[in-house]
Amino acid sequence: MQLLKITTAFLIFFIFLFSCSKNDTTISPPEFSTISEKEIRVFCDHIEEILLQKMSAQGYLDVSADIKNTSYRSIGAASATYVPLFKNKESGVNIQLILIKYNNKINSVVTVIRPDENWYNDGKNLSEMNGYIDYFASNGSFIKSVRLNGGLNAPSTIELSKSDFLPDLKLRKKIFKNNLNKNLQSSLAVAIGGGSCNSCHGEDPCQGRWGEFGCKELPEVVIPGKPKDPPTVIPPSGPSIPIFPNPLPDNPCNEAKALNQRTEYKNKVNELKGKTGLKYESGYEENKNGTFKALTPSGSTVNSDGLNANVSKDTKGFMHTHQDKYETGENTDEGSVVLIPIKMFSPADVNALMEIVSQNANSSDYSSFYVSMITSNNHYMIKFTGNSSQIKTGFNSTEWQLKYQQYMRSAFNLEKAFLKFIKNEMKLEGVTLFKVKKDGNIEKRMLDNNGTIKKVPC
Amino acid sequence: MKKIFLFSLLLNLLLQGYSQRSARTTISLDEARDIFAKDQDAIDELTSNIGYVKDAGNKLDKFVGTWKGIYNNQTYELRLYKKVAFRFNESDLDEVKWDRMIGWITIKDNATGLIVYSNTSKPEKGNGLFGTYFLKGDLYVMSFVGRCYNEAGNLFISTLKSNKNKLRMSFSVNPDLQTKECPGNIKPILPISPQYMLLDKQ
Repeated sequence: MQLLKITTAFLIFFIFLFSCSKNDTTISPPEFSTISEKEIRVFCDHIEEILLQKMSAQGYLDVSADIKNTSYRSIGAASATYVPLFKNKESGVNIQLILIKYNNKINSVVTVIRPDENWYNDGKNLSEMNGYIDYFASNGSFIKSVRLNGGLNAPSTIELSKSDFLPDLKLRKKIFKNNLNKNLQSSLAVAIGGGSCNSCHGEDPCQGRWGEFGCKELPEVVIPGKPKDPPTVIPPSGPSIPIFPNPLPDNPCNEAKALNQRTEYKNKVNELKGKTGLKYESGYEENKNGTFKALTPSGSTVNSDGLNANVSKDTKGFMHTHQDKYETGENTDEGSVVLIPIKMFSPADVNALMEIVSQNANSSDYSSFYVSMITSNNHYMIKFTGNSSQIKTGFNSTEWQLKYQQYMRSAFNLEKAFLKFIKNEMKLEGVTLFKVKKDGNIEKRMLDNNGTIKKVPC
Repeated sequence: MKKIFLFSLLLNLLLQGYSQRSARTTISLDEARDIFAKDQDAIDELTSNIGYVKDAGNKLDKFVGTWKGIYNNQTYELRLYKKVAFRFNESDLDEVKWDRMIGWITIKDNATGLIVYSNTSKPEKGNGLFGTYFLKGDLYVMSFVGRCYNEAGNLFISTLKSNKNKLRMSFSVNPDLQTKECPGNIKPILPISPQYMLLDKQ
């Protein structure tokens, strides 16, 4: 048995070792590059596992960072580093990791280019592409999707609405499998070659850099600044690719931090901390205009009232207490009866968040919406970081309560039990748990592959 | 050299991980209560290894059987079974195993003769009435989910010191958001603590 363990350990180690060293060929980045090979390697090592996991969940199997084929492109004053992650020559789907140094930090975005089926047969220029570009953060979380009608420069480039998303994994897989047109590779290569390569049918004009954004055209990079600032535009010399600086800033994290720094929110937190000794929950609804409104008890006749939290179009979030243990006032032969509430988000709490998100399904960014939970010792927030096709509601039913009780009343680590519950039972992707620590710093609490809690500082 | 060092470090970590996983500890139902009373952050560190909560001293055995009683002109029949090393999801090896009571309850209205609530048609792992820990002494806490989302909370049972054939039972609702599924003024079907009822062993 012990031998088996050691062998397994060795095996895992070597897989780990060699999966990283397959790209050991030296890369000579052009002069203008400001991101070194080492930096790329460190970055890729850092992100690879979770990104690949998320990408394969999106239906993109066999995604891996092909560092050897990294290319560099000067974009105005900056330079961008393109690491190929995945390409499907049949469907024209192309995924790459784009890194850019910005304020001395490496920012990244993962772009998934999904051309319309009819596009690549026409031998058109990339700037005339019709299709979608999905943007993911390097941790694999979905940022947004953009529909391109009439090319990257077209003014008709619009935000996607819920119905524009491919509904599920199966469909995406089907699309890949069905697009088996043998001419696609060359025609797409011609297309992304800017149309100037008509003689290369059957060849690869991009010389191994197949499928990059126009290997002969330099795209414009748009780097959004703070939410209210206009985006910084580096002078264009081709079609535009918006690049979202990531992981810094991380929108949900930043929203959580900003919320927690607002005086009004902090005051309410302190007020609610003083109400955790009651036998019922208390809380506030925050509207989109920033005003807080006290939530009311449902007025039941039992000893513990439910808290009314009704979601409207104006709702930005809810903050509420989860109670300390309290005596019910009954004395038995064994002593007084004490109820110990569950100090973690309930299915109804999760449902409230999803209802808010659902009311705003067409929004491109859900990171400002929240439900927070304040106990005498802790302060948590949940936010939705998924995409519109992952929005699900209806968790406020008996069936969910029952499963939840079975999970939570059997577990000791409530964070872990909760995260397992939303993953395994609710099958809800994109609900992120934040813990506001006593020093004011915020951490994401996530499950790693072993099912243990991973703390990721915001 | 660096790689060798890294390698041995990793190997160590892996083996440690394995040994920790295999050596999960067993605690008693009383100890489980002590843990629940602590702050969540402390719970996190203390409990990652607990794999089994055992009924040390067979304190649960006294509850096994059928209990009957009348409260508010309704007849309550409670059947309690003891399950050893019980998991709700057998395939989830991470789930803590518990020695616990599973309860089947039927409540009949004496005026009309109609059954107002019963969980007997539900599966064992999902019938809404399962035991957790001892709150204090022999006062046992069960989790109950009844007719709708908000009719969920803790059921407290204990036998009387003066008569072990009498079971004292009361219920307290978990504070939560009000759901539309539950009418706001629903009156739980069990006696709300500090009120309680007595049931006789059959």
